[in-house]
This record gives sequence, C-alpha cells and structure tokens, in this order.
Amino acid sequence: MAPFRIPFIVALLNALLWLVQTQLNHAIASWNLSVFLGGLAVAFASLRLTPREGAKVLVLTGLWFDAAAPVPFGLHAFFFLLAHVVIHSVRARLAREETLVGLIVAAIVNLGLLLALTAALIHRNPAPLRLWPRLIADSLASFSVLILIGPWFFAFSERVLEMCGVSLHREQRGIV
Amino acid sequence: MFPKRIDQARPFLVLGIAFVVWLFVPTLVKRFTRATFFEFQAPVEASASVLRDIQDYWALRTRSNNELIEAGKELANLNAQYETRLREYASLQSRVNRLEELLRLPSYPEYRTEVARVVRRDFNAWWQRLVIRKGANYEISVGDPVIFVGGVVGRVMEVGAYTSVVELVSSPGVRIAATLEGDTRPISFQGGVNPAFGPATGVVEFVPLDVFANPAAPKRLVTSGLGGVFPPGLNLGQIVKLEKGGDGLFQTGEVALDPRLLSVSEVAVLVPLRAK
Amino acid sequence: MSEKTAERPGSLVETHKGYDPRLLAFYPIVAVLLLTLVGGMIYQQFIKSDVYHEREKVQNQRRILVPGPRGNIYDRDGKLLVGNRARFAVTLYLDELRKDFRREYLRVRKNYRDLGDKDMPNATQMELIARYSVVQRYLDQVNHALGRTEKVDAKALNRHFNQNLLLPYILLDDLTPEEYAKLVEQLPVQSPLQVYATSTRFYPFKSAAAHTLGYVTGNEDFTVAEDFPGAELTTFKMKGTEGASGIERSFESTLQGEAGGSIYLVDPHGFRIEPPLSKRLPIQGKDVVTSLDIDLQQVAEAAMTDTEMNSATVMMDVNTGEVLILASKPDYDLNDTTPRLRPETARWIEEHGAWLNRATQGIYPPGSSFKILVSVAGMHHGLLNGDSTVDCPGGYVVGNRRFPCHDWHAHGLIDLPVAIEKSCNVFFYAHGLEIGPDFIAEEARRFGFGKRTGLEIHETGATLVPDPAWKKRARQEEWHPGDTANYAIGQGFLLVTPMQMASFMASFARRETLTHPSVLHDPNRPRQKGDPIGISVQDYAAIVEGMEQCIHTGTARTFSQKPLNGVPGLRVAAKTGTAQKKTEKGTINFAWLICFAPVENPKVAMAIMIEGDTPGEETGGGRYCVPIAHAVLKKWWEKQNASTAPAQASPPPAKITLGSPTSGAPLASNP
Repeated sequence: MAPFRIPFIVALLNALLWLVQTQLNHAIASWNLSVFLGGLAVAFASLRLTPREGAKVLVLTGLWFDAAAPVPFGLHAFFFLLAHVVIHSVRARLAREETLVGLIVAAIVNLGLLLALTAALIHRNPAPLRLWPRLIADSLASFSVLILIGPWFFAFSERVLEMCGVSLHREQRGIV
Repeated sequence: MFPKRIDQARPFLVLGIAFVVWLFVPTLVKRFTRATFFEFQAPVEASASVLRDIQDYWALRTRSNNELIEAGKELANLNAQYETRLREYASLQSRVNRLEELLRLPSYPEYRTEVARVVRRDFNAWWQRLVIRKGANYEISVGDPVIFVGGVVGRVMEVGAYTSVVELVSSPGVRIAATLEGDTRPISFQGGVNPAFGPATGVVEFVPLDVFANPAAPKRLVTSGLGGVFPPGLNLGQIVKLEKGGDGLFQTGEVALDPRLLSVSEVAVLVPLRAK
Repeated sequence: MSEKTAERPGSLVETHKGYDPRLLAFYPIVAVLLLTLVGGMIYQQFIKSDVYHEREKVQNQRRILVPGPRGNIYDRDGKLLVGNRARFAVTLYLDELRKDFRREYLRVRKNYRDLGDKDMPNATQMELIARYSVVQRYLDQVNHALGRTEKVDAKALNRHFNQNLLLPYILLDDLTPEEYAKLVEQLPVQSPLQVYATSTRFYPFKSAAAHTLGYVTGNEDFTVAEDFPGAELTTFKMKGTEGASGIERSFESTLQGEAGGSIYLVDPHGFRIEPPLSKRLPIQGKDVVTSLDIDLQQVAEAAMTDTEMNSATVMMDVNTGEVLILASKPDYDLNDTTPRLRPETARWIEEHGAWLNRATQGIYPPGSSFKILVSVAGMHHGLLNGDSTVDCPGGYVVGNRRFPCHDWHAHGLIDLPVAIEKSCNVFFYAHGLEIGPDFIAEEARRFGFGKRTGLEIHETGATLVPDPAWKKRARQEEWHPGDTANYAIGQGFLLVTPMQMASFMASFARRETLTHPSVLHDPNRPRQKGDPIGISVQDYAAIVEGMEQCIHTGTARTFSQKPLNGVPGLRVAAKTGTAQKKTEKGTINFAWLICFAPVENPKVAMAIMIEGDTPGEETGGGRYCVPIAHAVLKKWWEKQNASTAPAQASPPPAKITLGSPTSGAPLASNP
C-alpha cells in the first residue's frame, strides 16, 4: 500500500468536512453566526490513524484551512498538530474506536481550537471585550453541529476508507 | 531506545522542531503553497455555488406558469423604470462633466463596475469575508473597492485566478476614511464588532465634538473619497452612539451597518480604469 | 562496631547507637546555623519583601504621562474664542520594531562583510544605520501614500531612541485632513505606523483679543494628580502646554487639564510590553467664560486697525464692571504661536512692539480727558460748581509762562459745561490752581488711579498720581504752580492706563468712585458698589451736559456729523483728550476719548487711546478716537436693540463654567 494513500484519503474527507462547514456558514451568515468543525477533523485523524499518518493528514488539513482564512499561513496546521500531539499522549487510555469517545474528544478539541484561534487573533479587534458573546454563540453553534454531524462523519469516513480497501481496525492492530 | 518519560515527550519535541523549521521556511515558499491550496479550493467552492444556483433554478421550475408570467411582467416594469433612470443618469453625468470642465475641478478616478456573484460568505468572530466568483480573469486586483445596493461591502483582499476574497467593511482589518453626510471632515471608520443574531457594527474614531448622534437620531456615515480607495458618498452605515474620548478632542462611537450586508449575494467590484 | 557485627553474623541490618555524647556538641551549632538560615529567609522574604518588590518595580516598570487637553475659552455669548484643534501626526512606535532593527542590523553587517569593506563601522554605528533604514522604510510607506519625499532626521531619531523610546516617534506632523484620510485608508490596520492626534490651541478669531486671551508655550514639566500611581517610576512625559500670558496664564490652574497616562512593564532592553499594567485617561481642563463680547471686540479692532497707529480700547459694563472689549494694537495672530512660536514670528512681534498690552500695561498722560476728574475734585471740595465761569482769552499766564488754551482759541466767558464741551484749558488752569494739586491727587486716588484696578490679567503697577510730596520725594524738586496747571489738564507727571480710564468712566457713570473690572462673565454678578461720588446732582448734571454736548458741537462733534451721523436713539456722553509727550524725535501726541452711554441710564463706559506716530503731528482724540467709539457704540446699540426685541430670545451659552485665577475651582455655573 502506498504510504500516502490513507493520509490522502482522510485529508480529502477533511476537505469535504471543510466544504460542509463553509456551506453551512454561508447559509447561517445572515444570522451573523458561524461554526467551526476543525475539532472533528482532528479527532478522527488522531484517534483512528497512526500518529504519523494522523500528523500527515492534519498538516494537509491545517494548510487547507489556512489557505481559506486570513491568518498567518500555518496557524491552523500548528494548532491541529498540537491538538494531535495532546490526543496522542492520552489516546492509549481511551476507547478510541467508540463514536461517543470520538465525539467527546472532538468537542473538547474544537473548543480548545476556538480559544487558541481567538487568543491568536483577538488583538486585531478594536473592541475585544465585545467579542466574547459572539464567541460563546459560535462555540455553542459549533458544538451543536459537531454533535449532529459527528457520528455521520466518523461513519462516512470509515466507510470511504473501507471502500478504498483500508480497514482501520486491521491497520492499527499491534501498533498501540 | 529512549526512557519512557522522554519517549512520551517526543511528539511535543518533534512538533516544536517542526514549528521552528516552519518559521525558517522562506516566505516565498509559504506564499506559493498557500496560493496552491487557494487555487485548489476555488473550483470546489465555485462548484458548490453553481450547485446552489442550479438548485435555485430547479426550485423556480416548480413555479406555475402564471407565477412566472407575473414575475416577468414585474421585471419588465422594473426594466423600463431602470431604463428611464439610466437616461436621467447619463444626462446628469454629462452635466457633471461639463461643470467639472467649466470649474476646472479634478474629476474623481473612474471605475469600471464588475458585478460578481458571491460564492461564499464567511462571517465569524475573527473576520468577515466573502468569496466572489470573479478574479484576475476580470482584472480585479487587491485593494479594489466593492459595493452593493446598500453601499460599501469592503475591499478586495486576495485575488485568485477565478475567485477573489473580499474583506467586509465589518471586518476589523478594514479601515476607511469616512465622513458624515453633508460634511467634509474625515472620520476614521473600522469594522469589527459583530454580535451574533444582529447586524454587524463598526467603530468610528476622530469624530468632531459638534456631532451628535443616538439611536433615535442617527447620523449617516458615507465614504469621504479622501482616502484614495473609495469614491465619495457611498453609504457605510448609521452612527448610533457617540461618546467623548479621553483626549477631549474627539468622540468615538458605534456604527450600525446595513443589515442586508449579512445576506449579500451579488456585489459590484469597482475596478479603477488604470492607465494601461 | 566490628564486635557488634560479629555478634550477629550475616545480618544485613546496620545498627546505630541511638546516643553519642560527642555528637551532642554539634546539635546547638547546627540548630543555630539552621535558625540563622531560617531567620534570614524570613527577614528577606517577609520583612524586606516590600523593598525588593519596590526595587523590582522601579527596574521593570515605566510610566508614560499624557497631559490633559486645556479647557476652552468662550466669550460672554458662548462663542468659542480659544479651543483645541486636533493636530494629526503619523507616528511610529520604535519599541515595536525590535525585530526589524535586529534583522536590518544583521543584513547591514553581512553586506559590509561581503564587501570586505576596510572602513567597516563598529557595532553601534551599524545599529544606527539599521535603525535609520528601518524607519526610513516605514516613512517611505507614508511617502508613497501621500506623494511626498520626506527623509528621516537621523539625529532626532537617535535622540528619541535614547531618551524617549516608549513615546511614539513622530514621523510627520501637522497632516492636512486629506493626508490623514489617506493614511487612515491606506496604512494597514495592524502596523507600527499609526495616525495619532494631539491637541493644539486653536484661535478661531485669529488676532482678536490676542493680548487678553494670551498664548501658551510648551511645557514638559506638567504636574500630575497626587493619587496618580507610579511616582517612583522612571517617567516619560508627552509635551504639554502652559499659559504664557493673558487669560491663559491667569487661569492656568482652571484651564489646565488633568494628566493621564499608562504604566508599562519593560523588558531588560527598555522595550515596552503590551498591554499596560494600568491606564488612566487624561481629562480636559475646565472652560473659562470671559466677559468679552467678541463682536464688539472685532468691531473695535477693525476701527483701530484703520488708524494705522498703536492704540488701545477698553469697554466695560458700567453696572457689573465686566470688560466687554480689551483691545490693543498692534497685535499678532495667536495661531502663529501654536504649536510653537517660531523665532521669526517672535522677532516680528518684538520689532513691532506687539507684545505689550497697551490697554493694561501701557502708561500715558490722559490729557484733557482728565478734566472730568478735575471737575469732580473741585465740586467735591466745594471749589467748583456747574455755574462756575471763566473768561478765556485763549491763554493763561502762570508765573511768567503763558499756557495756551485748546488751539490758542479764545472761548470768551464760558461756564463748566461749555468748558468741557470745548475742552477749554484756561477754565481748568484757573480752577485747577484754585483746587490745588493735593485735592486733585486725592480725588484721583479716590477713583482708583495710581494703583492696579484688580483685573485678573496682568496690569502694570507703574501708573502715577503725582502731588507735591511725591515730587519732593522722587525728584527732590519743589512743586510749581505750572505743574498744577499742567495737572489740571491731565498733563505733566500723571500717568494712567486705558483700563484705569475706562474704570473711572464706569464709576463716574454710576456716580460712584470705584469699579473693580473683571474679564470673567457671570450672569448673576451683583452690581458694583463703590463709594458715592460726593457731588450734587446739579453739579453732576452740568458735567454730563458738557460731555453730551461734546459729541454734538464740541471736540468730538465728528461723532454726530457726516459721515458718521451719530448713533440714532443713543445718547452718548464723551470727553476727548490730547496729551503731549516729549521724545528724542520730537513731541508726539496721545489721543484720548472716554465716554459712557446711554446718558439717561448708563450701561457701558469706554476709554480709547491712540499713540501718535509722527512727531509734531496733531493726533487729536476728536479726529482719531471718535470713529472707533462710533463704530463700537453703533454695534453695541444694534446688539442691545436686537436682544431686547421680543421675538428674539437667545438661548444661554451651551456650557458656562467660571474659574477663578488661582483656585482652579469653578466659581459659578450657568443653569
């Protein structure tokens, strides 16, 4: 099996997730609300793939997110990788193939990423204190969407990988 | 083999090293990588937008013929009105030109209007942007002003081959030399306060002390035309709140932007007619 | 030990003796050492912690102080006379450019090394070069936006870097609104380059009331509130201002704003660490509402300018003593003194004698305008009355000197009103000698001559009311009858200011002796209360009759004649004067006019003085002062009629706070 096959497929899946996020944001923009689903992309790659593959996926996904945002190029990638490393250090203790665990991890990581991005970008705002209610609303919206589409995304990703002849259970046996 | 403790820290170490290496990657490489990713995204987004258009088309197809005939009639009516307006506009324009010539006034830089469809709205707490379906292929360039029916939309911030990114006037990265309608003194406008479930707002600075505004009696804020980017007189929003700054010289305040900005789907890029 | 182990062979457990008397000696030593250690720690950590904390604070924190903007100055109708104008500058925070400086330094060093330059500058010089080129690069961004070609002043940059690193470095100052707008729109939002606004004094009426309002000078040593934290820290101060003359100086404590500032943590190189630890916004100073009426002031100044001579005009409210006009020519545009007075402007002002406020600091003999006081002196001491007469042959012999009458003109047998109307010198020589210098001096002092009037702004103390005792004391000379004759017509040693003459006129109009003038407006100010004038109603009426006739058929008749044609409906009582002063170039004249109006119910009093500029030329009050008085009274009368018209009720000024010259606390507020 080509070494880049799994990362490539998962990165494409994450790009699809990004597309879902952008289309959703386009639709709810008129309420001045937005969602961020980076945590879901990180959770799947970090929990289901090998650490190395996960890192590859998250570099690609991070840069993809970066290209679409007015942030220093590499910011998302760095935060995704950081989250990946943190998850990696605890994943031996998690029932990582459980969707529920995946969802919880995704929600926590998503919140962490939102806060990290805010910390990195808040200095641009002329009235930073008034940003917080908006951030809370966005976090809640993101959390709701994440809980709603998380199971679908995990299942869909697994199915796509299986269709491509990759069984995650087999791939990772013996590694952890 | 490392001892277990060091082994656990190794991923963090690797991340740290990767981060440092990334810092030293030449800017050119980063820029190229970013552009590559951006151009890869463009067709994805454009396709999504086209799909949305097709979806709208099929939604319209479900309408009855009678409804469509009614809509067609209304459209014809509107078109007729616009045609009259256009004629009035042309005669006014020629009058303005004549007066400018007579009084030897400098005429404002001229623009070509490039109407573009919005591919994607991206409004979050940190930035407010639009992706539009026209790019370098229509000679759009970075910094061009973008307007819509409600006034100023923002400035082109990034131009791809087929798409461009517009930074909205409600984004903290946009600052405009504005003025009150009927006034000439420049006021600094900056976007950036975007509460959820409400219209976007911006902040104004350097507002002279003799200006009064409150939600009951707001003041209209327009572009001053002095800054060299936006032509004068374009609507920005309404100043709804003013308070005296600590320096005793100026007031600072809040501007409510046009609520239609949040659901904008069609914009016009003002492409300056540059000397070729 | 070996015995014990031998007893229990194979045991791995070491056994120790629980008690060894030799060790006992060490316990106290160890205990003392430990106690010392603990004590020292407690002393350093708990008792001296404040000292260390303080030292650390002083080392790591810096305070930046920003002066508060000055309060505004208004005229009595609420018109802004002195305000603050925004002065836009584009600034660069050098402490945000640390990395840029470092990178540029490395680049410069590399370039020199690559070139193998023998005269390679040392590290400090290369740092300077790097700093200059980085700042120039930022300035070029500004140049590009504004279409300018400015260059960085290397010396100023270096000085700023070494002395005021934490203050913004001003790249370009005094930007026009267009330039400011361009920078707002074209500079990136996140940039060390920022558009910055400071306040500078702004005078919408330019040179009007220049001496009265005064100007400000730069001041880096402004005081801060006592409760402002960080007094012990190294402090950087942005430049403030302080009043240098006029109201700006007299009401300094009222007008001066309250300084604000921030305390920043700094790194070991002295660079600022954002955000500030604490911040306090500056507060604008309190406003001062003056008693001046800028409309009248401008009319007076325009008429004074027409004479093309040095002059002064003072107009007062008779009842309250509030000064409506306080004008002195030549003057200067106050806007030229801000943001700083340029040497060439200062030279011009100096050469034209424009620093002097002639209304309060100029001392002049009052000439015939003093005859009013001499008349009052005579009446007060029972030596003169309204029916007193003199036969004027056109001159008067005192001792062996013949003193001329006004224009050597013989007036014939005349009484007091005619003597005032025609300004007959012979009448006053004769009666002045009868009254005597002591009574005249006493009366002059009773009316406040010879001392300051008490106006809030600077007045000269060099005025003089002479008498024989003074002459003996100061000049070791006897007082001669000729001195009395001169005294009686306001000549000789007598020296007054236009301010004193206006005060005298106001007191006389109220039939009182003293008026305390003020440049502050107080809508509830009580009526002035001086001692009664001490002459009969008939005698007073005789003087006023002469003064009123003065503008019809007397020395000020041009007031009623063409082209001025008087002020319809307004009865004016006036007295002109022409005083001579011998100078090296010859005799020059000082033209005077004092007046009050309306005669039946006096409201305003005025004094006008014009310095003749050509020796030997007749500069008379009738000719030169009358047009000024006419213009001012006409305007005043128009405003009076407009304000009493029933339809027009003007609203009170927007914000009126009166300040006292010293206390800084408001005296009263307008509802």
